[in-house]
Amino acid sequence: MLGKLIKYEFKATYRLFLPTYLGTILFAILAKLFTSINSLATFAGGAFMGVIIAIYVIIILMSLVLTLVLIIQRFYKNLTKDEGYLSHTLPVGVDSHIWGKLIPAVVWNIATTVVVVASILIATGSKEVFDGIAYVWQWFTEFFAAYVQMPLWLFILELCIIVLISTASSIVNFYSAIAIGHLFTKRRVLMSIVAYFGMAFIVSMISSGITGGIWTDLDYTLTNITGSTVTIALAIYALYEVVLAAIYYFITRYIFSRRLNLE
Amino acid sequence: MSFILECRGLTKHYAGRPALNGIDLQLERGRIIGLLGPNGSGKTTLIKLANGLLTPTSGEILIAGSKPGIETKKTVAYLPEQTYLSDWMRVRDMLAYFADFYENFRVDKAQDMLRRLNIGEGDRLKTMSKGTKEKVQLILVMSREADLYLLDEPIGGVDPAARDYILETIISNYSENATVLISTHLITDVEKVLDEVIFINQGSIALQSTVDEIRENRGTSVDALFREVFRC
Repeated sequence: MLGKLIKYEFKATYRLFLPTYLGTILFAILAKLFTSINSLATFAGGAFMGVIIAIYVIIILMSLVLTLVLIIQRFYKNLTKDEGYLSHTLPVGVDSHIWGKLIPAVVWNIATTVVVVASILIATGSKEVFDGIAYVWQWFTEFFAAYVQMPLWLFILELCIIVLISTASSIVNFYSAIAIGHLFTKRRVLMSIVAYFGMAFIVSMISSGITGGIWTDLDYTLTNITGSTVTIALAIYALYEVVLAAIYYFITRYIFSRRLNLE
Repeated sequence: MSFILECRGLTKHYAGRPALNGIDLQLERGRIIGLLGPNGSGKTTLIKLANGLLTPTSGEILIAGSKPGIETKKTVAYLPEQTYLSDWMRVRDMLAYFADFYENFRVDKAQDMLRRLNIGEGDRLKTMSKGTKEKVQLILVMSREADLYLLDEPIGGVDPAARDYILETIISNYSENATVLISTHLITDVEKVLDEVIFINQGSIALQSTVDEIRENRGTSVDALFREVFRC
């Protein structure tokens, strides 16, 4: 059943994401074309190029906002508003409903990031830029080999895993805020927003307590950093995000399975 | 065999105000039952509790002996008052959706009914009138071979001609073992198809009786009795 939910979630959302992605890439190409052929010598040429670049920047912002809005709105509308009358009468468990929204949301998040980065490379890409990237990459590779004793790719892989976990965690955070808002009989949206900031406050209090405790025990001289300490530090952070995500998940799960009250 | 639907001391409060007051109710299989009452009497609340869309304040509601959950949802076909169809879908997408999630959904049956009501499978839900959407929803619900049909105001928004077809569809589409619970205040329209009626008022059951009993013992129609019981 989870597979079917994911399939329909993608069906419901790709119609909005694909055109946005195409638009982002298209305007990146246009921006590149105009910056390379158009000299800024004439006023009209400069103004025209300015407009193209402005549109391109707006489109990038739009795709970022759209990703965030859609992720929140799909969950809210499909599980707590009118569409919830169908969703919650399907022979499907609450876990499937949450994962069925979360997995596509994470995928779209990654896709948006990839598209935006690719479009920036397209729009600004030139031999100098790519040479610069290659130079920075080389520098980091040598730095890691000399001082961290771990390959750069391993570090990047670990970072990617952390980004993935914290992306999922921040999405379930939104879900749990929507679920908490659902506990109220009136002003559910407002209460969701209050719940979101309330949780953010509590989490920041706790995490600053934890990090404060760890920091004082650590020795920061560069010579003490090794591949294994970096990996351990990242693993601790990953664990912290997983624990947070699990708490958000179980709040959501509890409310939707035991406290559901559709309007 | 257990009752298809049973309530024991079922109570539901909204923000402290009671919507259902300790209801005890037993529905048998193989009946068409009218759930009749004025606006705000608790009809929709009862049906939503049976679907697990609301959590009881106290007491319990059982579908064939089980609390609402994945297993009961397989055998309960529910028509809400709300339009729950996604705007971006076409009729054929909804058919595929129902077929994907409900094992007891009969696509051929739905296609047949859609043809009878001149609704194209390629029609977009976005451009449909409210009445047409209601018809599509009713077709989807009645095309399931369910044990219990819970229909909340199924004929409220459609024209009288379609009303007759819909009622005919309801009677002809359920098996002997299935029970249909229809909530409505349009009593004259549904009276002829009902076996049994439940009068509900201010969150309590005012009367549960077969239609024959009402006619024989009280010598009146359901509609007339309703007007008498709920006189303002």
